Amino acid sequence: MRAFVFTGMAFLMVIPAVILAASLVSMVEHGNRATMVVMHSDKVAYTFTSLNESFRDTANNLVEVFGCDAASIESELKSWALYMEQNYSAMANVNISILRKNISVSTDSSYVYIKNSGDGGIPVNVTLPYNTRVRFRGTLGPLTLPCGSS
Amino acid sequence: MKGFVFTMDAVLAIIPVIVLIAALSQAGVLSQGGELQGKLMDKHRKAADVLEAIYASGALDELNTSEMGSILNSLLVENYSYTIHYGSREVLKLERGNISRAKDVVVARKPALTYISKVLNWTDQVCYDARGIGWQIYALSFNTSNLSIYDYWFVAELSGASVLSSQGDAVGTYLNYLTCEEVVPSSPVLPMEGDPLCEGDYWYVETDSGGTPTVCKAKFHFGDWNPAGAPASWQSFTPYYTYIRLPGNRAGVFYIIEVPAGMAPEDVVPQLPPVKQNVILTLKLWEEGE
Repeated sequence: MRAFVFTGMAFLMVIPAVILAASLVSMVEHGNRATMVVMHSDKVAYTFTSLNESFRDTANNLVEVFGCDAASIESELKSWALYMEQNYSAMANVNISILRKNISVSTDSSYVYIKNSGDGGIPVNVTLPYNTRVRFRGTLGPLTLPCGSS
Repeated sequence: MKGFVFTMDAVLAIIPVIVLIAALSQAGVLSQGGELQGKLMDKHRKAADVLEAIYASGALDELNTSEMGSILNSLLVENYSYTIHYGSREVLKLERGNISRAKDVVVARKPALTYISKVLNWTDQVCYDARGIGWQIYALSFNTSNLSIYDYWFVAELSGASVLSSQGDAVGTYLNYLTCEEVVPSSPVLPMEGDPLCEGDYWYVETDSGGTPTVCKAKFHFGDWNPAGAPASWQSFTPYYTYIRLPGNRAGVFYIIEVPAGMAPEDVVPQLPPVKQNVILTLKLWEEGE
């Protein structure tokens, strides 16, 4: 009987130790997961920032080359978007989705207006191929760039 | 019996200690993994930051590899090795050790715009008009960048009635500045027998329906006078001065164009403003392991 009591006490003593151990392991794992989330978030945010800069550079370059020719600028911007979706996403190992068909370029002979066909900027989604929960949603533009002499 | 009970108690009492030790040792391994992850994250961030710094410097626009190199060297004080690729083309490389012994290789990528064809200088203005005696002189100066990355082309757009051959037209490139008066035919610096325009294997010539050259392109260096007298002196990061002598009855527009090395002559177009293309810039960093 005495032996049973002591054994039970010992088992009871094990419980907090197991809980402590489990929580320690869980804390470290949680920390590692948090680190990975930060890394992934960094990556998609950096990809979006780069994409946005490239969009602005390309738009400026196209206006420099084509002036107020909205149709040519729109066509070239759609090519740029396809290039980025295919090449940049493959090289950087991210999924990039740009609403290409909604890229709309118009002009009033003084300015070129680059935007979504509805309104606002062109929607972009950046995700990781192996972790779609880390997602970055943003828009490219809208941009208004001077193209004419007046 | 009593002794057995105490022994059993002791054994049971050890269990939580063993569990704790095991957990702590496991936590050590896990935290070490976390530390490595953190270090890797730092390296990824460093690679992205360095790429951003290069981007912000404007060195990418001109594909200025010496500027890129100095930024990399000032930001990467440790024993990093690096390569920079423009698309699939390697434009910069510094190796301290062997990549096969690298602890880890981190890669940052960024889309960028680069010139694929850039008119460095052009002129349609006569700088010394000797048409009264049959000549006109044009002058152009330009600086070369890295010759392993770029080619330089001379392009002449010509108009006027006469064909050029045997009329004393010539083009010559010099390392030192000359006045336009110094390159008239009577001068020894660009003699009658200098490199004639549009003649020779190194010229890529477009003609009109009558066979008269209208656009002539040649990649530097070409002929004995480009640069003058010493082909070996054609080098990177050097200023050059090009002079063109035309017969009085012709007119021309002349261009010096910088293009990526190996571009086909038909793709070299004297177009203003510069033609750019999207490329993906890749920075690869690594450090040799111990």
